[in-house]
Amino acid sequence: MGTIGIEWVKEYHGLAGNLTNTKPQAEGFYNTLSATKRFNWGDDLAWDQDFEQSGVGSPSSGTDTTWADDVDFVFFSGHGSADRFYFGRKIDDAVAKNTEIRWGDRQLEWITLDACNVLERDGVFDRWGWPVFRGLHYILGFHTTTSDEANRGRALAQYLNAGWSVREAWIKAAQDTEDSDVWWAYLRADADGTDTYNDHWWGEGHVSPDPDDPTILFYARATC
Amino acid sequence: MLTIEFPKIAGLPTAVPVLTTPPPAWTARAVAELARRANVGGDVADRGAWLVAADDEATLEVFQASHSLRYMRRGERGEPRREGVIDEARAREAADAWVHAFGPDGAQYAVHSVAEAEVLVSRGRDRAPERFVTDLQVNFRFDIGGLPLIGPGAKMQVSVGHEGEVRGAYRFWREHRPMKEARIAPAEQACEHFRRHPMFARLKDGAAKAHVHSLRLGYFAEPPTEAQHVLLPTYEFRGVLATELHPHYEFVTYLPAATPDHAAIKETLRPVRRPDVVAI
Repeated sequence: MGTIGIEWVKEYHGLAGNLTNTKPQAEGFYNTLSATKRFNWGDDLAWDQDFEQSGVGSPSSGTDTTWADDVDFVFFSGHGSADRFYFGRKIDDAVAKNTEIRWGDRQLEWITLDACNVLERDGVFDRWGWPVFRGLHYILGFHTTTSDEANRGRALAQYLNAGWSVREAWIKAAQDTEDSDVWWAYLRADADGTDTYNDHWWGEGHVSPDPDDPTILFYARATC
Repeated sequence: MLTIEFPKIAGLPTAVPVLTTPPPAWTARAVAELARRANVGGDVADRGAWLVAADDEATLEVFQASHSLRYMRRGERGEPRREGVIDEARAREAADAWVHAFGPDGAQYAVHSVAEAEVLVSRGRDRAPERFVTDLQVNFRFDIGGLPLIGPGAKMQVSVGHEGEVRGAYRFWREHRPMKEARIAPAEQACEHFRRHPMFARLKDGAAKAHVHSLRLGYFAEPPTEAQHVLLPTYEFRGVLATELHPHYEFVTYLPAATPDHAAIKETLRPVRRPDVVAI
């Protein structure tokens, strides 16, 4: 059985607008997916450094090998923009920036960044692709703004449990929970001997070997 | 309290019908018939939130909580990578045929947008990515009695490939019937409620700026997986919130525009009792 962790932020302490549904959204994923639960950090216990690589970026206080990069699937719910996602407490700077992130060199295969605009198309390979994928299979997110809603994490987990592939599950969950002005997106990596297109949740079908040194990246987007 | 700019809004109705949404009564036989019409083989399986028919080529999912369904072609080994554009007129024709066959009877709908679904492929940092259009997506929206259906649970989409084939489609919909009319809260009152939304707690003028650029009234539809007993008149606020940390947050927020009479709604949803057997 695979391992999962979630982080979510409702309370931004005036740094940004508060959100209402991030907790039920992320916990819907956590409490529905057939998985071993490893961490659930919310609000002031959700920290940007949990997603960042040690010694990389500024501040270089990342601890991802203890948290985000130590499980198979992570779901983050909060604010975001094209090159970063935001937290409510300034442990270092309350911002997980793409320049501070390397994922998959320890464990992480899939991550959902349920936050606005993180996977905006233009420049996405330079922001989140070649620098970030070190064994990671997928980043699931949105090209556009997304709504503050409560059901998507559970929907994603239900589709994964039902045996849909990771990409199919994300597309379906996004279609179910957004109107068609919103664009879902994903970024995935492959390398010699890998096939992440057909990835499924652990126990539900094929899981590709890790593309530790990716040779090709794919970005897809469409309306929900 | 943070100052928020609102658009002028006029011409809203003072009362509209509340719409109850009786739960669907899907049967395996009805789903099998839908699957046959969609050329999907295989037996119908109960997968919890869905009834699913599937063969090697395609799947048909029917949502048990609503009158919604989704069709999807399968069997590809990767994202389609085909050069060229998809003819829009041809795509619209295919989409019209699909919604004519599988859309809800008697519903009012129109094309809302046509969008290119796409795949970008990158083979290295120093090489420009290749772009492929995989589908042309024709998106439809509904309205009822002149009010739009808003939210994720009322829409249709048909994805059309390069040969004019339907590669995927869905209908998210709830059958409904009108109850008595409900009074609509005036827009000014809704704006006052919106000012007190938790989104703006702790934000102050000077450190944050917010404006609503679109405010409209519609019926809110929950996701197709969710049980919903009523389509309630709802205000939709769209706008932008700027703070130093997050300078451009485009929000969409829904607030009820009427107070539902839940007991009356429940009464209308009660199944009709069978007559007792009478000895003769």
